[in-house]
Amino acid sequence: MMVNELTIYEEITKISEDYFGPMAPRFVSRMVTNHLHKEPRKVTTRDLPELIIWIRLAAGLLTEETDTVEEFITRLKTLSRKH
Amino acid sequence: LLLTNKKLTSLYLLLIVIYLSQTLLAPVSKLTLSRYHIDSTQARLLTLTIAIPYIIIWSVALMGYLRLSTYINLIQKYKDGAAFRVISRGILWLGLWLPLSTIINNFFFEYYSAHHGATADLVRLNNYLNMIILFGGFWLVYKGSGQLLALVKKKPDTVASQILTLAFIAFSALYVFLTLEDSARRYPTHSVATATYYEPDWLIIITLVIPRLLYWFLGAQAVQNIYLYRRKVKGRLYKHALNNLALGLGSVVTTTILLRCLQSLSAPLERLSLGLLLGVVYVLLILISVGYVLIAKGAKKLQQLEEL
Repeated sequence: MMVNELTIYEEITKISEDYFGPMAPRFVSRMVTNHLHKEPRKVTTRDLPELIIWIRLAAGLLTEETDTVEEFITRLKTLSRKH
Repeated sequence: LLLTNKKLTSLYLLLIVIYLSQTLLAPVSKLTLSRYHIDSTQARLLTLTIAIPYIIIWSVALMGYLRLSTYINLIQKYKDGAAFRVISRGILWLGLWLPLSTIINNFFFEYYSAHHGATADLVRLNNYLNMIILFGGFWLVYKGSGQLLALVKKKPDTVASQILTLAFIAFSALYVFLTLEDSARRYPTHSVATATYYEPDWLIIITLVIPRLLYWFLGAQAVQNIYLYRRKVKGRLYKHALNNLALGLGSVVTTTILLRCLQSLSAPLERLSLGLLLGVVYVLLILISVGYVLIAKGAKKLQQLEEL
C-alpha cells in the first residue's frame, strides 16, 4: 500500500516534469497541499480526479496552449487506470 | 516592488541624486565646447539628453533585479533557486556598475580637471575599479550559469564552445590591436586631453587587457550556459516562461561587454562625429534596458508559475 502511494505521487511528479521542469515537484506539492489539504506523499488514486481538476485549472491559467494542457491531463488520467 | 529591498532602492536613489548634481553643477569642458561648436547651455542640455535615459536605465535595471530577486526568494531552498541566486548577484553587480562607473568617472574627471597632477593616478584607479566591479559581476553570472547547467547534467556543447573560443580568439586579437593602436593610451595627444591608461604597453596588456578579455570570456560562456540550460531543461511550460529571462540575461551580459569594450576604445571613438557617438551610446543604452525589461518579464512569468 505504502509503495503504491509513493509511486503515484512520484509518477504525477514525473509526468509534471515534462511540463514544469525543475518546478514540477514544487507545483505538485502545492496543488496537493493547498487544494487537497494533504501531505503530498499521501496522495492516493482516489485523490487523482480532484487533483486533475486543479492541475487543469492551474495549467490553463499559465498557458493558452490548450493542446499541451490536454495532453498533460490525458497522461495524468492514465495513472488512475494504471493503479 | 521598490519597497522589497529598501536599502538597495535607497542606494540607487542616492546614486541618482549624486549623478544629477554632477551633471547639472559641474563646469563644462572648454575642449568639448570647441570640438563640437556649442555653447555651455547647449552642452548642458546635451548632457541631460544622455543623463535622463541613463537614469531611466538604472531604474529599469533596479526593477529588473528586484523582480528577479522576488522570484528567487520563492525558490531559494531548491537547487535551481540557489543557481539563480548566484546569477542574480552577478546581475546586481553589473547593474550597479552602470551608475557607479559613471559617477566615479565624473568625480575623477572633475578632480583632475582642477588638479592636473592627479590625472594619471586617477585614470589608472578608474580603470582598475571598473575592472574589479565587472570581474565580480561576470564571475558570479558565470558561476551561477555553471550551477544551472549541472542541474540538467549537461556539459557545455563542444562544437558551440569551440566556435565561441575561436570567435573570442579573433576578437581578442582585434581588441589588443585596437588598444595598441590608441595613440593616446600612454600620454594625451593633440586631440585627446586625457590618456586612456597612463601605463607602458606591457602593463596595459598584463594588468588590464588580459583580465578584461578573461572576464568577457566568462561572460560569453555564461550566456552560452544559460542558453544551453534553456534548451536542455525539461518542461514545456517552464521553458516558455524561461525564454524571456534567458534572453534578458544574455542581452545584459553581452551589452555590458560591448559597452565596456567601446568605453575602453573611447579615444579612437572620440574622432567620430558627435551624432554617431551619441547613436552608439543610445543603441547600447536601449539594448541594456531591453535586457533588464526581459529579465523582469521572465521573472514575473516564472513567479506566476510558482505561485499557482
